[in-house]
Amino acid sequence: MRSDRNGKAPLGLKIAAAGGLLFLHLPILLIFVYAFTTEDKSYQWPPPGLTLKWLAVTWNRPDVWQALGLSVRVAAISTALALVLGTLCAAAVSRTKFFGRETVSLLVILPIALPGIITGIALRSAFSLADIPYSFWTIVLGHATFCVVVVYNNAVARFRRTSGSLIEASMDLGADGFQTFRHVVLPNIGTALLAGGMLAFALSFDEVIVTTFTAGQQTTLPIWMLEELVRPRQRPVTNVVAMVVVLVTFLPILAAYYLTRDGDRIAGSGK
Amino acid sequence: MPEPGAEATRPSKNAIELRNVGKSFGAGANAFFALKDVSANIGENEFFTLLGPSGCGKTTLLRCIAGFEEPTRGEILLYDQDIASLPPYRRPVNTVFQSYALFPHMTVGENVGFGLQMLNRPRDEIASTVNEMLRLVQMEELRDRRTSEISGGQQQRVALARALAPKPKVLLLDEPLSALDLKLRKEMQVELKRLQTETGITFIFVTHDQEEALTMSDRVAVMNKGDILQIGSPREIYNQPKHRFVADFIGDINFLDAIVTECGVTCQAEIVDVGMVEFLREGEIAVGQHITLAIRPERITLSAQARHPCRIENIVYHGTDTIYHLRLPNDDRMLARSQNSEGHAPAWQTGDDIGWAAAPDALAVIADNPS
Repeated sequence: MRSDRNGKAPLGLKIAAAGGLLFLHLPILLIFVYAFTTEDKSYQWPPPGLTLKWLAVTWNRPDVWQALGLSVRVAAISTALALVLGTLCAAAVSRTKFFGRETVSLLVILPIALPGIITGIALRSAFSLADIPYSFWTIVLGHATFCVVVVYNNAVARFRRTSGSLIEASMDLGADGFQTFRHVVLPNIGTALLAGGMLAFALSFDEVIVTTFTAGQQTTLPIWMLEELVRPRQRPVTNVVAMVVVLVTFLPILAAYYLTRDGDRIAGSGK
Repeated sequence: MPEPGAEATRPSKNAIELRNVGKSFGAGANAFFALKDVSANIGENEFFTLLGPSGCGKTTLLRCIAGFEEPTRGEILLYDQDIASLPPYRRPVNTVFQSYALFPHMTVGENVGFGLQMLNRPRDEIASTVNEMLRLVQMEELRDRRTSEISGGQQQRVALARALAPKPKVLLLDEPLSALDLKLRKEMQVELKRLQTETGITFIFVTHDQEEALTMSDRVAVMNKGDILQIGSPREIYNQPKHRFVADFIGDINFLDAIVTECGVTCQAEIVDVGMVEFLREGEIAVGQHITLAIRPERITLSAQARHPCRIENIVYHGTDTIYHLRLPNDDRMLARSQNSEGHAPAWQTGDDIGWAAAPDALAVIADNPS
């Protein structure tokens, strides 16, 4: 509407909006600044001096690399798991009608609605009850619970928009089940899966709560940071790592946002 | 006047044979019978239309032939081979979908070539067939466009080309023209008929539009409530409807209840309070039997001298013709249509008492009695 486009917002509203945005993002900026401070015992404002040496120090710390490696592996595997399970589940729920369909769809989404601590406790007691030793795989399982939801949500939305007659048309033209999936279904849900996968990866990468309950001796990156904060030693190293985490999680989310937006556009006007 | 049924002669070879096909959804008392007991033979190279209101089972029947639905009973033969156990991708039958169902991630050319690609045809053969098909539907210059970048009518043509490209033995068309506007629809009707003649492929066409069915088909099967009521040439279906539903569904028609008084080569029947009418013998008719006769409005001749009296209740001008709403002495209403010739003002006015007459072959005997 024209009035919405041209109307000038009152000054007070502008200030409030700016204030809100600053409140959200200034602290993140602070983390970046402290990654370059010369003071390594406490966070002191303004920083007494700026240096790049913490980048080198971080680079040479094996514990950082270990934690980072673990986090990437956990995130990659739980995302892969979620991609398969989430897509299958979304296909079933959106394609066919069966008894208990709504229940299945609710139960799949539930883990993300539940507080992480509940999921964590539940998994921990289940693991100990079943005598499963805490390991890399228990972390992966914990993360997969919410990664599946993210993939499922993205895939189910796209499946609903993809007309069922496309699959029939493909079958009609001589493509069997696998060929139909490869040539028709996958290209149509591809961007949704990529977006879901990236979100799942980002979620897994900075997950703390479920991880603390499902990890044994392993330290993922967020857990490592939490531990670093408790014992102050080369504090800015944590900030450097934090900066990396922001970048690693922010970029996929941004990419996912653009991918799904383009996906909407395919069916639309293409302006 | 051709012999009734003369046009219905069809090639001796059957492309599709439907034998007592039934399809029900659900079970027990809640079962819904989409198809009750459908039998029909569809000849090679025939343009065969399934006509009926929505929910009559015509689309279900088409989907059974395509393989998307499995009949609960009966047999479907394609050139004498039972195809019931074949999945859709093994049937040499292609479908043009109502929604077109073009693949949005492919170009026009890729869409048309998809079927051939799935059949593992060599690349150059696919390319030449795609070009040939696009030429057939006059879409060559749009080969590299995305399907979202072309108009509805163009999408329709692409859907046709895609379904024709693998050279199916039978082409199934599920209300393919319903999404087009009137002008485009008329164009595509001619186009479809041309394609069918040129390719020599058997077409099974589903529609609820009676005009579409009459203009394009070699034969029409009128369906209602999961049954085929009548199969015949468009002329037969229109002029000799056997069922009240068939008569009523296709165009305007008048029903007259009468009692048979005499039956020889032609029959006489008396319409109470109206008079005697003459009609052609059709099946078993006994003297004294109550029958329903049907007559199209345009087969009624109006004149001041005609033998059956009636009163004009309303005159509606339609451009090409004029519709007269008539009231008979027995209080029944009747519609009559007369073509307008230029400069010819109607001779009568509302309220005039005139007469009507009908030729014996204009009256069709309706088999089922209204209950």
